[in-house]
Amino acid sequence: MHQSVLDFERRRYLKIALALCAVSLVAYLWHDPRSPPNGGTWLGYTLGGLGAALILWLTALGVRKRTYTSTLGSLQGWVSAHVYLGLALLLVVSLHAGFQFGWNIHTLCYVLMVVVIASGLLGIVLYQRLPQQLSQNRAQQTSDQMLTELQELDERTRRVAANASPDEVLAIEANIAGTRIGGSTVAILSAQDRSTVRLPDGLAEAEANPGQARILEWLSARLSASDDAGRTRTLTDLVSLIGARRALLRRLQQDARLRGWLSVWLYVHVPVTFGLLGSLIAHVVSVFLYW
Amino acid sequence: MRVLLRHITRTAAGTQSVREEWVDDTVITLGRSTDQRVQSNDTRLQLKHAELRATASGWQLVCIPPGQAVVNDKACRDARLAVGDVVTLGSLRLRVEAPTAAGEPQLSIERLPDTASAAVSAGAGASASATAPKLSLAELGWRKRPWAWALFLVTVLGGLLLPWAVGVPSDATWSSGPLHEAHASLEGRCDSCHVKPFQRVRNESCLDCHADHLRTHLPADHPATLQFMAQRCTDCHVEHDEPSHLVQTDNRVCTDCHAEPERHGGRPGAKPVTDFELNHPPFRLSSLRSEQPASQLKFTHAAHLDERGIKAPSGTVVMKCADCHTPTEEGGSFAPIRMETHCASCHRLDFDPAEPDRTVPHGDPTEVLRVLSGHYSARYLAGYADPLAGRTSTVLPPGVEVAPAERARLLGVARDRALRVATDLFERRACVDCHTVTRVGTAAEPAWKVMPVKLVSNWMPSAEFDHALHGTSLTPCSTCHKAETSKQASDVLMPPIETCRDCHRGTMKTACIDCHGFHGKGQPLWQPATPKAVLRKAAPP
Repeated sequence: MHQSVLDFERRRYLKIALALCAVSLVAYLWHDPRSPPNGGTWLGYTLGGLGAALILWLTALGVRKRTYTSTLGSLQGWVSAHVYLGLALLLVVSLHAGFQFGWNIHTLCYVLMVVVIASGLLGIVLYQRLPQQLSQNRAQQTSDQMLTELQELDERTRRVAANASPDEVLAIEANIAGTRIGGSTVAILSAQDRSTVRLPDGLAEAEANPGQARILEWLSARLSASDDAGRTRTLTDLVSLIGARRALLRRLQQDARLRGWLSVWLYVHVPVTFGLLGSLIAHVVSVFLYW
Repeated sequence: MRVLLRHITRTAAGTQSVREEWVDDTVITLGRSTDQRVQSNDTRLQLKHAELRATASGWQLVCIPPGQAVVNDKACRDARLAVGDVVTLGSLRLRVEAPTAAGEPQLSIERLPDTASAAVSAGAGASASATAPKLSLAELGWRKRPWAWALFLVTVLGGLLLPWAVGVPSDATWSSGPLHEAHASLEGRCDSCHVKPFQRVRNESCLDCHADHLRTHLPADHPATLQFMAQRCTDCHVEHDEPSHLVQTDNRVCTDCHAEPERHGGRPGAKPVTDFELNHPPFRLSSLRSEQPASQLKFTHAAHLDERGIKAPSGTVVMKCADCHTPTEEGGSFAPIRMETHCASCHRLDFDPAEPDRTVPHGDPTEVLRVLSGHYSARYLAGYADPLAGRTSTVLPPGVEVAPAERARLLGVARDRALRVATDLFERRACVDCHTVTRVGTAAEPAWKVMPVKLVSNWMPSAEFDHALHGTSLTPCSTCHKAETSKQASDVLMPPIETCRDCHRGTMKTACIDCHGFHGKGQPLWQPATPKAVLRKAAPP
């Protein structure tokens, strides 16, 4: 049975993270410095040191996950701890800062950390639902196999279309050529189908053909007008093939959309983490440079 | 019934070899599972994908849902197959052959090259073709590493190295918060205080500007002086915090020691203080502490503030506090009381009814005598008509000198007159009203001694009270000072601590620093922090 990283070892790291938050919060409330709470009190330095150590350790997940032979705990445990302690970091560092913010390198560091945590949170949410949908949508195929299947389907359609009239052959070719799925970030993430088709007896401009709707409509019209049995069979086959194509395209789009969402947060999470590391260095060094 | 399966293998060169397999079963199972008769690793197939059933009338294709097959380029689930029909299942291509001579059904099975796996092994795969759609963010050119390193470099360079090395962007980006408004002129000039990298702000930096004003909290001989010498200005005066609080208002700055003064080197008997409202000794007046003599003034507030008024040269006058206690320009305290300014309009020092505007000077008795002698000498010599003497002095025509003998007589008369008037002023009429006056000297050469007046301008010099801040212009003075009923000059009209606590309690808490200055006047100059090691050596064991 699959176990979510969130439930790893009976949520051991959730408990550790909650304990860390509780200890930090109690210390913060108990600590009553003469000046407003800030990073320069003994508690401020303590929470700051803890936060910096946590950030470095959380970043080390990137190293650990590439070290297949590591014996430093299971990767699942690392991810579980990464999630929970990463969320706890938000509180620890906010308390470290004493909720004082401004237009400076220190707050930049905080903001980058919040962006990293928020993108990570998005990742957690996405990973709770999407992999299951992805696997259902793929039905044990890989993305490449689906693409191959599309090519095969198109070849078959071409072979069947060879029995149809010349303008129908043109329409089938135009339909294949006008297929536009993916191709842009928005199209991938929203599973947008921007396919078009230029029909031989239609408008001069290519017509929108999302979900193969226009070509199916066009073929169906021809089918209903057909009074020849052979021609009707060919057109029926074509409609059926385009219907299969429509379903396959839909699966490909869903596959791209799900894979896109499963990766898009990482394009924020990882680079901003490095921005966070850089600003963390600037924050720590500048604080002691101008002590 | 037996079934013949012809497994066809094509080589790259195009030649084909056939392996024949006789199967004693009429059902040919197809799928990825190893228990299938015709097994394929093509993941487009299910574990158990389809069955081909041989019947007397030919082959029947049955797909196991959701499996599908392509029969002669047409996708279907179930189909009755005729000779020559081609069934494609992923990379498997099956063709129904004519039955053998013995009537046994025959199938040829060919494994096409797996286009999908071929594509994967080719690297870029199917998406390598020009028309292949870009279905992943990576294919669109999204990259993590270049952005990661770019952001790292930007933050390290822009946040630390460039401001440090060349000052661009400004090192003001390191400021964790604004400076207090008192230090606004230093905003952006970090090196005013942060002199040396990685060194904490030193007291010298503060004293560069504040040396003229900053005093220590303690006199130099106080036992806790050493303790204070180790303090850094920034221990209390923290900058770059929000809200800005350059001056510590937290009582613990004081009560850390003053809660138990004796433990911290305070003098024996020093009273502990923890809180103004709950635990603060009664107010102590400076006069009692320093054995200051009484004011030596005969004065009562009650008489002066009589509601019915008091007799004055100009008639009956009802006096107000502000007639004598005039606020300073800032309004925080009051101008010193002066006889000439505040008393003389009633307590007139005139002495000659003939010249009612002429007065003796207030202050030095010798000077009073000198002025009186001078006045009467001049008057008698000038033919003064003495309204009291009952006789007229000689009136000389203009230009005629007084004879020496007459002059001596007149001067003698004038001196007698001056002494009589002085005696009247000092002992009966004017001075004695307010002062303690004793006659000294001889009968021939009388003199008077007036006890000097000592008014206390500040009864509580260790604390500061700002009348303006307390809105006293709107409040009757009697709220705090019981002047109307004070019948002794020795009465001290300072309110007790309870009067202050009427307001300063609960939510209107009072911090120590609200009344007591820290860097007090008359104390030695604050010294730069001394290293703790030096102090340990210097401190008594």
